[in-house]
Amino acid sequence: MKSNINKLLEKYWEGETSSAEEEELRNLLSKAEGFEEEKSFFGDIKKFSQVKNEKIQLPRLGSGRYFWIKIAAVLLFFLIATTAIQRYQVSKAEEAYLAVMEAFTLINDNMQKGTSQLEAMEEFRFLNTSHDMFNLKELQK
Amino acid sequence: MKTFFEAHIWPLKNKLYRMAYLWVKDREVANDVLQSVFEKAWIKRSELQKMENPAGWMMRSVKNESLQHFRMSKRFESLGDRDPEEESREVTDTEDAIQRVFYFMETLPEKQQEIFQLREVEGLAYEEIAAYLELSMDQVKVNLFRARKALREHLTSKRNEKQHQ
Repeated sequence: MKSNINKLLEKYWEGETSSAEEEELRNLLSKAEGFEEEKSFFGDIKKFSQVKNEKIQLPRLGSGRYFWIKIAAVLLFFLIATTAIQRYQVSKAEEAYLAVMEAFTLINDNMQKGTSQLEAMEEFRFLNTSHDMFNLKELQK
Repeated sequence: MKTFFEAHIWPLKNKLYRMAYLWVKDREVANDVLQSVFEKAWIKRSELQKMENPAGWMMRSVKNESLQHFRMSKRFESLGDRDPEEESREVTDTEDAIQRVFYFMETLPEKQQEIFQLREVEGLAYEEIAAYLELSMDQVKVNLFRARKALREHLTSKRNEKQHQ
């Protein structure tokens, strides 16, 4: 058994052992006398290979650390976006109203200007009333 | 019926935890690193399913997350928030056996540590190690040979110490 272990150990140190041979080497070492350092080290390795993680949790939908923060951020974004759009629409409507009012004022001003310029035309209404100014009937007599 | 994530990714948790432990040298931090990687993997689960080597992707993600942890802790150190216990970056495990394994592994270069752990602790085949760490088979074999050579010297010196006592 000892020679078998030595042979496998030599192969192991050279990095030429297969996984099955390494398993066999560990088994032989556990039963053999001597080889205390190798046995101890392989024993330590085995203990390390048995270290398990008991705390980690299987991720599920909504289990992420920042899941609810992300949801809140998305909701906040939509809230802000909706408010901004509404405000934009209101300001657009106000702008349109002011523009229409401004146009009406302009029309009104120009109308007034035009009307005042037409005041001279008022005199034309007397053009056809010469018989009122002069009593033609009396003159004919 | 188990999902792809539950059947193929979730069972890697202990193997990945021990690798994270090698990289961050602290069980609590290793747990945080792993939880964060699993959450990212959960989000990318449909992409992972299409990958050729999802286990390799997980391994590399754990390594990147561990390095990210170091970058963050270094940033805090530079702000004067240095933890004196972390200065040496040595494992102080409650279990003597694990402490002894790390005592030896810390004498090796990083790549040898990773390959040594994947082979000796996790029992992976050379091909798997090469795929996990994105290395060639030759690189895996050479690094493992060097790590074992160092182990042989380590055990021989321990034997000699005992004989002298």
